[in-house]
Amino acid sequence: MGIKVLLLLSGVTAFICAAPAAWAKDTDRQDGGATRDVTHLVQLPVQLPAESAEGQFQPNKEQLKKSPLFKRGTILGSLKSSEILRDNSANSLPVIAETAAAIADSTSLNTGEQIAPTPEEQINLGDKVENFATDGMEQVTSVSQLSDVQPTDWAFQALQNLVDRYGCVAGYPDGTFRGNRAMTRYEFAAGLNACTDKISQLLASTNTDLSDKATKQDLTVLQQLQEQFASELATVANRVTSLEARTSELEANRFTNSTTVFGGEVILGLSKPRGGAPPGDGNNNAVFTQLTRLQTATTFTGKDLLRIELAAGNFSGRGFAEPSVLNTYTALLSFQADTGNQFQLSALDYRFPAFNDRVVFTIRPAGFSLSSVLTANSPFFDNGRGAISRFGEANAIFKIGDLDAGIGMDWLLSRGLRLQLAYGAKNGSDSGQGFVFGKDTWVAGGELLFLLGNSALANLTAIYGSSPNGRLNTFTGSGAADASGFINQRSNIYALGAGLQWRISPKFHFATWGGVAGTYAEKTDAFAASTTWAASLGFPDIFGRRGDLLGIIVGQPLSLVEYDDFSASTGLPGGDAFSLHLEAFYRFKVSDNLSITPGFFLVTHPGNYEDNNTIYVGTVRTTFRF
Amino acid sequence: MNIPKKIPQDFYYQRLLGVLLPVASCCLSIAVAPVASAGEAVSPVGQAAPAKPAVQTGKIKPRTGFFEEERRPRFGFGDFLDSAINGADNALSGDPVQNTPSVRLQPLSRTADSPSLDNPSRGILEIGINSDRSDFLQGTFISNNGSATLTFTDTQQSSTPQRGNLTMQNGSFVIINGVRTPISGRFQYNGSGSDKNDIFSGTVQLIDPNNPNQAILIQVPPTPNQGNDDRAKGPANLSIGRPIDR
Repeated sequence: MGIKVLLLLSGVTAFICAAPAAWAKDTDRQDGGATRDVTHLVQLPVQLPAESAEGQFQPNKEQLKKSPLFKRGTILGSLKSSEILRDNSANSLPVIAETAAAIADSTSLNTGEQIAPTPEEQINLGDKVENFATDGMEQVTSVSQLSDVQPTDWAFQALQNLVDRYGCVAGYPDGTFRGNRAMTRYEFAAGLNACTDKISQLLASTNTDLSDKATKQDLTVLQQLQEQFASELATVANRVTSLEARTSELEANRFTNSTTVFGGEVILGLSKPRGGAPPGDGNNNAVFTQLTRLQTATTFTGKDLLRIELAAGNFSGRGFAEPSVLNTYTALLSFQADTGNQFQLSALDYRFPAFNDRVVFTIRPAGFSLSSVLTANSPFFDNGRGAISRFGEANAIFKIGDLDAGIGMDWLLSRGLRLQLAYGAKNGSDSGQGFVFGKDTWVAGGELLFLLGNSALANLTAIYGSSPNGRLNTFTGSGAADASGFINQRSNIYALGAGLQWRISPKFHFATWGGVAGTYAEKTDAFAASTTWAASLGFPDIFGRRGDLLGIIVGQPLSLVEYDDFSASTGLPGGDAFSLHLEAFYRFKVSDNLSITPGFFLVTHPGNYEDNNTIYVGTVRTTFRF
Repeated sequence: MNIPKKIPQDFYYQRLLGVLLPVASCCLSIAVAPVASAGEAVSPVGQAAPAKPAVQTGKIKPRTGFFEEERRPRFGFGDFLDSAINGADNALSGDPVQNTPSVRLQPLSRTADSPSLDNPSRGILEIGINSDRSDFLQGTFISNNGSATLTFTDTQQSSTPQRGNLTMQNGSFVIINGVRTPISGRFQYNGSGSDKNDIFSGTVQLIDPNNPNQAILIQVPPTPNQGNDDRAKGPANLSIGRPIDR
């Protein structure tokens, strides 16, 4: 039976190879009619008597040529459907290839019209095919029988395997294979089906001779290997069993059905201040501090993300902003926090997409700031690996409000434009204050983010908010500016900002940002305006060291520039001096998990007081990430 | 009340120029960015990777970016989702100051010890608010418990900053670095206020020229003016200590 199947498949494949050659003569061969014919014939109830025997059928070849069943485009389907032919004897189906070729020749006679077979024709189809099999070319038994196939052909080995081992390929009646001719999808489907059928039969048949697949020697070697490695195999089996048990236990007791990953960052800093006195008393002791942040990220649907972050730090008090040291918030470092080394929830953030994934909503009940949603658009906005100063990491207007909780959305308007909206409140979890336009500070912001070409990103940001004391609370500049001249009453806050990152080359980028904030008292005409700006140069991968970064930042910390009807703590004397922030750092990438960043910054006339001395802060920051 | 602005105009424009710099840079980049992007294969800010399918199949592992530097703002379908969901640009605000309760903005970063005066102290401030009158910025602060009565006299209205005499009539003092320091003498002071619909608010800050690191701050929260159009009167808070940035 196996041989019969092999021959059948060979015939089918031969037909696949041969028939299209004739079809190719017909310029109309790819019309929809062919598809319909195939569909029809696949469903054709062609049957051969199970008891068919060798030589039983003797249909006339010419009759078959004239049969409407063998019109253009129909043969392939009919032959594919004729799995029933497998049950015929081996000798009855030796040369389907020639049959197919002859049938293919008949297509030149037809007009493409589909004519339904009569029941008699259906019954006799197999007979007709059998007849062709008796007087056609025999199946090739070696690829060498194909006159146009040479051992140097790139697919020679593949053809040889298919012919010699599976008989899935046959040639044209003239003994050629015509390997360079294109085949149709129909031909491909039929040929593939024939080969898979053959392989399936070989695998399923218990009587199939596997001698050509594995020799007795192979089996002997295999048996010897089994004996020699019996102990190892037993060990592996035991380990697999153990692993299966442990896996089952883990699955049964795992923390969550969702997928969660864990990450973290440890920042160690050795920092020392200088200068001042005033501002501050000028104590210049070096401090060794740490900030540790641990975070889990969980997805429930594959698109959403829940982040939970715990943080602990020990930069005592206000750090270098303590009155005994430099007494100015321009001296704050980007990585300082003081939780007394106690871990506390520093951020809880859930994001999910909507509207065909073009909008992402953010819910953040803890650790919110406007930059949680609005892109800060700063190359150095990274506590552990970016700027070393709080001022230098991003535009101060993103820090307005010193918020706690908030929500936001990020909307992809087009490939080069995003709209981001954010709302946050301070003490939003306090029922006495309220979250939505509550009694404490609340801030709403909107930002348009533009992609300019492939190398530049710009943002325009507008912020509106309300503060019970008119304070901006960014902690990046002078106290008078940050407190809106200590306006000390409920005020509305308006802020505008713009920024640009421009990667001029892979190893050189420029960035700048600026902002202005105006504070208007609700009950009086008091008003204060403050500004800030910065420009920076970045040199990634400098000196050929991938991951290194040299950053230089120059800018003006938040400064009070104008006020109406109200002022305090400015002009006592001074208060109108220009204050400049200058910063440089170099990040050495030791490994993917470790970087060391020495850096320093200075601020002239901190707080805009003319008689304030320049302050200096130097640090060596070591950042582990995992 | 009209008080001259303390900041020179040229200084104002100097700072305004700084604000305009980023905006101008944006415009410049709009003009030249296409040239730059066409001329070289850059490591893009916004398009760090080709668009990826947003939807993944099978067991999905969140692609996390725990660090700001890895969170590039990205555009385009798929990239955007990765950026916005995964926080490619801003999942972490990176604001550890939120975890530092002592970082709070107050006009006085440190208050002085005062055994004879409540610090801060609540009282009533009465002060001239008409700059056309000779008693402009002259007045008194009387604490509610009577521990201090401050009198402002002899102001030099043309001076910048304003200068005048402060007299502590009952001799109160504060302890500064262990030194008993009377609150009396000639002080530099700055005061201003705002009056709108009979609601008055204001601040007076006084600095001893010999000890600029200590200030007397009197803040008047918005309150109905109990005085008149020339002299404001209302509840106020007095505190003595070291101003921020000094």
